[in-house]
Amino acid sequence: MFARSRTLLAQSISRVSKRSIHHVPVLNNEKHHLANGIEGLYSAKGFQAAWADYQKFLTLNLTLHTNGTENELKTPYQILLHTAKQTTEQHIFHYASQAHNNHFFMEQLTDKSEAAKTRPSRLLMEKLSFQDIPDVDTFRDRMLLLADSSFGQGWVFLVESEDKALKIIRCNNDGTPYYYGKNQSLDLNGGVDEGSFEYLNNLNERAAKKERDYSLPILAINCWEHAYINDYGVTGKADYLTNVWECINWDVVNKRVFQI
Amino acid sequence: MKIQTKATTVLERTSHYLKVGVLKQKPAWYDVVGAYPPHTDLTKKAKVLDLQAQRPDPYTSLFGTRNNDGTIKTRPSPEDRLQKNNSISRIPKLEFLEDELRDVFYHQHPWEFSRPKTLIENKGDEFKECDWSHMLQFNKPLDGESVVQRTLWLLAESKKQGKPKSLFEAYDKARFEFYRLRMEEEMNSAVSKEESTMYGAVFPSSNVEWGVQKEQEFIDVWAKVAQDKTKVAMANRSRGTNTAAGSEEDKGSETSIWENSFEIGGEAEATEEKK
Amino acid sequence: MYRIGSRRLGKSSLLPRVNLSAQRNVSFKLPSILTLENAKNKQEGFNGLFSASTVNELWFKRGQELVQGLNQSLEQSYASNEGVSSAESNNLQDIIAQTIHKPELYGIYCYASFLYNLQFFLESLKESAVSKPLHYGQPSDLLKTPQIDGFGNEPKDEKLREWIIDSFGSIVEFRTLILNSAKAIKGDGLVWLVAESNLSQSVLKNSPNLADPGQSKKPIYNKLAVVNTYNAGVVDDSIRSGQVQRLKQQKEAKIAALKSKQAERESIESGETVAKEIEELQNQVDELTLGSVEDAEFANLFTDKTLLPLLAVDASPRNYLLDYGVFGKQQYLDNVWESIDWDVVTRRLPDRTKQFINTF
Repeated sequence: MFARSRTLLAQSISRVSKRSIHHVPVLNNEKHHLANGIEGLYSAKGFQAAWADYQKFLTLNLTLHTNGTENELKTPYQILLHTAKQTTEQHIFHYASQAHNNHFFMEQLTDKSEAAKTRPSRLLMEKLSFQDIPDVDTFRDRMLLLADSSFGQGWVFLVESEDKALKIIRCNNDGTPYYYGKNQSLDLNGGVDEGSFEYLNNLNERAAKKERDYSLPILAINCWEHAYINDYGVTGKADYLTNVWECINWDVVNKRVFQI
Repeated sequence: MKIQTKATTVLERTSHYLKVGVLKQKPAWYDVVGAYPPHTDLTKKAKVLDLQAQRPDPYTSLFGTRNNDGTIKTRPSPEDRLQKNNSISRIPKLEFLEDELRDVFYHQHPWEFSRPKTLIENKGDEFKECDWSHMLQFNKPLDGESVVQRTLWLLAESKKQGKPKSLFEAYDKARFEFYRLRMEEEMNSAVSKEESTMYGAVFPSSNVEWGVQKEQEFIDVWAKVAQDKTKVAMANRSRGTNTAAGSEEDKGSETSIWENSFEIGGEAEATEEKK
Repeated sequence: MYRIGSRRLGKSSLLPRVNLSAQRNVSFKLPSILTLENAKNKQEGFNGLFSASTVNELWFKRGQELVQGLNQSLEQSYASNEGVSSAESNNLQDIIAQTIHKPELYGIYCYASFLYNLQFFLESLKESAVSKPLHYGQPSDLLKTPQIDGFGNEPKDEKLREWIIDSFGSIVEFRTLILNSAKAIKGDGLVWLVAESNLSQSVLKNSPNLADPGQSKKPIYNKLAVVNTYNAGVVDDSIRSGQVQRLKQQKEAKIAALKSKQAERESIESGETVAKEIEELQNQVDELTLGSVEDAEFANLFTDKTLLPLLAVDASPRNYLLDYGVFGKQQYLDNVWESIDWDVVTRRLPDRTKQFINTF
């Protein structure tokens, strides 16, 4: 995580001096994936749609909406933090948050055969065991069941909170794990029950107190249709999720966990 | 106060100040300037060069003309030599169609000025990257300038097509495209907010809330002032019935209640001092 | 929708999707929409809007999944003897109204609502007469200015036209509004054209004789409006509105009850006047203080007016991703406009009252 944020920082500094448009970042092995897809998950066409096209859509929109403003030179990550609390800039937040989440998600994927060589680190599993997750299979079931059982577009994140404890959260639509006010973990479109009401009240109180959020994501599962509709069809979410788990490069994920 | 540009009026203004009492003493130069007032306005102004209105070059017209007495003029008289083209030393004002369009647009849409605008450019040739066959640009925010450039493109294009548009038509088309895109962006922002709220997003404060807070501040001040005024008015009324002459307090209320409350603004000490 | 199998039990034990509904007397079937049945089997698909495979994905596969999920969760709730009674449960709208306020029946509500919304949208479409190839979106499409005029398929019916023009100004403005709203939806959601009731349900209920005793308590409609719903939201605000307000009031009542109890106890112990005075002070309404924005929003909301849906436009990504690509949303929406079956919309129109009663 720290190594990553350092490169992000370096990028932003080198870009400060020059105005430019937002570009699609380059992934490791991107050429290989664009030609062959991700083995066990995406066909070449599916990868093109889920990454190259969608990310291009997001960054171009980000450019269109931040042109000539203070957000022009910022990275999507900076923009999403900057716009999260602005009621009139939620569309910009959407593009920034999606661009960041999608990048975060794609970074951790690799070919199935490659992914099989990696496994969650002992540190990660140890931390998970504090959350009543004794083994990888339970971990998988928890993440994927949450992803599959919720309706609509969204994300499932494994998040490391301020006290370095892990938790699994669902972020509906373009929700971000970095700020509690925009986690978007509820679905208020139907009936509102007392639990959600209390949860909302709690969020409002925290926001009124200007409480800060230091959570960082460790692992992301993309539940947007953009990520699977080409290869799996509208009803293929369950199959897609099963395959995603097989293609996670745990080396990348392990590095995101806080280490002393 | 209006910015004073004319050096010629300095005497007039000073004497006015002296009369009113703004200045207590005569400035040292007052009498001298009074005796020898400046008679030329020395400020340089841009001049629209109108070549037709200029006197023709005297060289061709002046010489060779036969005077009434049969002699031929061979050199200019002192009067001829006099510089009559005063405007020749002035900088010509450059005029462009774009400027006129900008003028019209920002006159019609004054609130467009309220949008912040960045003046920083990488090389100064950003406009080269813009293709005005469409209104939206990746290299430039959507603003009044887009309307201007798009209008010009539409004009040129319609000429190329052989179906020339009038300037008015082209401008109107560009303008409506601009409205359409602005509407879309506004809707995008509003719906995004609503959508995220429906998924449990929480905002510490909204722009509207900020406005309400500001309004409340003024209402609070107003309430305080109104209370004081009411007290004075009540006292006046009761005294008026007793003595029939209570005009002293009226001096205080020459300014309206609103002026008072705005003057005070955030700080309440002002009222205290007045008392 | 628990379909991910636990790996410890092996892949083969992915929860079997058995149709349990056989045991119940009422079970849902995928409603048949004739235009879609036709489009599925044709080479060119749904003319001017969807390819054949997309029609299959959107309605026949997804619809089937929703029906199955609905039947399954209904069966479960039926077996556990709570929630929906089987007698009333053969109508989607009934199910939605019954389950919306029961968080434990969230699943049933979602399936029913998704299915109802999807069906409502697809039923208001018709194929265009000429078949034209669908344009797959390119990045440069983002820069295109959406067309302002020069669109077709305007509503023909005089009554509908007049109603639209009275409510929105003109057909162009209406089209811009509805398509812009749809384009701005990022995740799942629909835009609805609705007829808005003059009076809120609570007013209708509480005043038995508004103008004259013979007047019915049914809502009367005067204006049209455009409303967005997200995910499995329902369009009719009369079911849903004021939930948060109600919960807030409940909470306040609870706190007040607790406080009064405490005050009683305290008054026995010490002087009772002080506590009472404080409470009275707190209860004083300050007329010079503006309310919160939340209150204002609540006062100006649709409150619990009945909204009668006339037309739905589904803006969820699945509708355009397959045929139009991620850059093709505008094109998809333009095509949807061209495919709206105004006859269906006209048939859904309620009687209009020109009389406008300006009470809330």
